Amino acid sequence: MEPDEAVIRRLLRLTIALPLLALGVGAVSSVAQVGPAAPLCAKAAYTQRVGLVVEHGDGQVIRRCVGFSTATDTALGVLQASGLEVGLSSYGGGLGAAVCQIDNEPATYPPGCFTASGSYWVLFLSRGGGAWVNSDIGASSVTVTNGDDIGFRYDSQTAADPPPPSPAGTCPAITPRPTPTPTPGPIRTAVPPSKPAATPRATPSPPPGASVAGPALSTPTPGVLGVATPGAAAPLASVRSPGNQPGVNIGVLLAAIGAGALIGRLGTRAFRRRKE
Amino acid sequence: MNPRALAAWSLSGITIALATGNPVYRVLVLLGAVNVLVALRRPDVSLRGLGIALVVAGFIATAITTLASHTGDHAFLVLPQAIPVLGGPLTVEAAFFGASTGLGIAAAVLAAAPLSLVLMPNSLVDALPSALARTGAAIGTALNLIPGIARSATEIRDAQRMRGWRSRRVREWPDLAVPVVLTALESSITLAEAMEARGYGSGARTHYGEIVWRRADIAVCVIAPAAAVVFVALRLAGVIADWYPFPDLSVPPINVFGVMCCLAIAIPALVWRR
Repeated sequence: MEPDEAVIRRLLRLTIALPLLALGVGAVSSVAQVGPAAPLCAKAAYTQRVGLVVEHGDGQVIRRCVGFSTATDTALGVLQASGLEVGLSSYGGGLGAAVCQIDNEPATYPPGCFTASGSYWVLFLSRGGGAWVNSDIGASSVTVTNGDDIGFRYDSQTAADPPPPSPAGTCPAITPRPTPTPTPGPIRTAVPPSKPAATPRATPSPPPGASVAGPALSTPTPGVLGVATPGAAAPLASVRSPGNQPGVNIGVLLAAIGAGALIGRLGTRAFRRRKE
Repeated sequence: MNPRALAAWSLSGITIALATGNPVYRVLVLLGAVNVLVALRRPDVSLRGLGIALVVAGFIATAITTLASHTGDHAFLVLPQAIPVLGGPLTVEAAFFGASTGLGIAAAVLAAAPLSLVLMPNSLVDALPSALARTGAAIGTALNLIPGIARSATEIRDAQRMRGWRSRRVREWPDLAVPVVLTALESSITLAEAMEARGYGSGARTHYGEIVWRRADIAVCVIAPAAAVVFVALRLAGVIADWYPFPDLSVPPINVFGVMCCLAIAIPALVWRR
């Protein structure tokens, strides 16, 4: 075999190997998107409770009842304590934080959080069971107290901002537990679950010991007041982003083959040039 | 090759490179443009300077975005908040976003580069519509003076050094700048007289050779703009998604039609020969 022919063969092998390598990397990346589960309800053991209603762009509604021990909390604090994935960006200059992403919607966002024409998360507020009111200040500046509800709706920038579904029933009524017979022993203290880290495409799941019902109110369990999650039967991560499912993506394959061919052509040309 | 077809191709490449933030499409446009440059550049042209400039530009874009954008979940370094603008977490996501920005710059510059590295300046001026011929000739002439001024500056600096001149202070720079400006003015006047003696401005611009449209030229002039139009249309329709690495780094979404449009940008490397 001529030495030139051997080099050209090597380059051709490289041209084939590059797409295969890219394909492998793509497959591994798509499989590796399964992350740890996030808790459904946090801080629910406290007496101060705020309802949280999140309506996605596809109409799917998530409800959470979030409890806290201080007299007031911010809407952002409630959102972060709900266990839903939250992506934030700073407005800068002491203006607080912008809510860019809730429960992985949108899948990604620019550094400045908002795009020129895309949808964004609109914040609504309901005081003491009243009607939804569009908030004119950011989530980190809105203070809420017991009985209030906050709503986030993923809406376009162009049309009007209809409010999310009614918050009624988001925080379940507390069922008084039968008085236990006093027995000597250590006092049980409800410990709130730790704040979950923002995990991409995490499938929401209840924390240990929490019971979750569908549209009906859940049965209170020690440490958790209860959660109503109507309409949240399927994990959101599995409903959205169908393009990220494992499998051969023709676009990825074509891109890898095309890039490999262009690189191989450059290599072949450089080799011929050197020989000349 | 037809200069108008090459201009159409160049505009198409720039359009695709700047219409998306997706690094996959940008890489494909960049590879296509590099193939065109390597295959069709003038024999006397070196790509080394351009390559170095693009690597530096990409590095600067990556560094600035990494230092100034503190968004993203995965911080690899936290600078003290007391540092203005730079203070805060430096994230992997911001670094990737900066690299993607650098890729876009490189792809757009490489798509525009054949206009100067493949075509002769007179071919480019000839390709302009008749209404822009005089303006184009004036701009082209002015741009051609830049390398001449650089050469003149080098010669004058060497001559001044031989006379014992050293540029230690700013106030000594006029010793170099004044002869350079005077030489440039003199060259411009000489050039203007030469152009006038050859009939510049006396009538419509004439051409030594007619611009010929061959099949390959028509293919480039149709396929590349069509690819750009389809790409932009798909982008506006939301079929081709943009890519942002925030808050968490993710694999860019790839659409098969978007890839086909980007690969179509490499068409001159296949149909044109130098």
